[in-house]
Amino acid sequence: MEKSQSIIVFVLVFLIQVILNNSVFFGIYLYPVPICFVLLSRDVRTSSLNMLLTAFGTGILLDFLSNGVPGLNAAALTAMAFFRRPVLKRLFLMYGGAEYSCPSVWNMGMTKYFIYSVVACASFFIFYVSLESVGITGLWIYLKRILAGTFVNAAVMLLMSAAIQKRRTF
Amino acid sequence: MRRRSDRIYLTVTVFIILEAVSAFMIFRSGAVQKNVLVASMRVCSDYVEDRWSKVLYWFSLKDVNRDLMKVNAALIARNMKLMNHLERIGMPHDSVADSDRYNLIPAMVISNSVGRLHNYLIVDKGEDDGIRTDMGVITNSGLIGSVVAVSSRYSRIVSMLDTDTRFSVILKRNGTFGTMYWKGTDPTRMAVMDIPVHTPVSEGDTIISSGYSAFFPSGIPIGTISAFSLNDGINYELEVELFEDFRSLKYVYVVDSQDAAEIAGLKIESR
Repeated sequence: MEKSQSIIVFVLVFLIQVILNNSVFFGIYLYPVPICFVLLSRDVRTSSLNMLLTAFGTGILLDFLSNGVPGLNAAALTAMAFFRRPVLKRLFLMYGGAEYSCPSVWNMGMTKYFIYSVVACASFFIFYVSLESVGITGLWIYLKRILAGTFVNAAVMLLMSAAIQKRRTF
Repeated sequence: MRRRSDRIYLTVTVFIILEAVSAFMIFRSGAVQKNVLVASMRVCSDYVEDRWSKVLYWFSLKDVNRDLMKVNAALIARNMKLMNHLERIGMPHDSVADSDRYNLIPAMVISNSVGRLHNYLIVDKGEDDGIRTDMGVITNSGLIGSVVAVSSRYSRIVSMLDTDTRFSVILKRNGTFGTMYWKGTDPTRMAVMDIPVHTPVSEGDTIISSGYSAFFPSGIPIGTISAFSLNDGINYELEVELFEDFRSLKYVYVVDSQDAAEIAGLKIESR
């Protein structure tokens, strides 16, 4: 049941992401990526290889269904998946505890979860912005895009975790 | 433990592959990214090409130097011919006059000594290049010595820095002859003896080769007078500061005198 719920949430968030990518323009500094939330909320015991392939597949699918440069989301989501496990392992030492199986604001606490989200979003946006605008924008715009994308999305993820993951994980 | 490190390597490898695939897709499809990539690659390739050409040029300097030596030898020979022509038509000159009789063979010094009483040089040209014994050796700024032995590819030269060597020179200002020799101490200075006391001499006067030897052309500048003194009451002894620094000698010209054999024959007959 939990698995089917996870799949439903994944599909819903994925569709929302596609709609956001194709229909809503938030300006150059803001790119909402709720799909990150789904990947970040996966069980901490999920192997890194599994995470990488899932993130890459999701990104490729998203790229082909969106009006953008193919490969951008795939590269950024793969990077985020790559850095997720070391962050969790080193900062929070969460392995082994049943209640910590899925990272959420409820079992990690607001501060830790926010830091976790910020690091994950930062790795996503560093790759995304770098590959998208490499050599064509100034450093200040480049930094603003990364900072805005990281903190806004980390805050959105905090809210989503609080709303969707209430007490139980998916 | 090993399985864990293997897993980490596998993860990193897969990550790199996936990123490479993504990057390939981005740079293949994104026009902007493609242009940036092409421009960056062009900058990189230009940089590498520039550096590489400098490296190649550096390695080719030896050949360039050899070519320049040949050009320089040709220019010196041409200069000597012109001086000869000037002399024939009665115009004054301040350099070599009898150069129609000389060919210059450029050579590189591969061994040199200045710290002994009898000093020698070895150059990288020998019999195969037309060098024979008793040929003179010069540079743009002085007499260097004469060839005493040749092999097919190398030649041994007795340096002017030899206490047994004597050769005639003239004071450029008034044409007075003297005999130059080395005292065996300072490689930057030589002495000239047999300058008559009535000859006007002053410090800074230039000494040039006389041309009385079949080895050397006349008029080659050798050095300037740095000091002089009365030697035996009737002759001056001059101290000459050489133009050529024998300690840093790199390239020389071996003088192939076309009349050397004929002159040598006459000298033998006169004995």
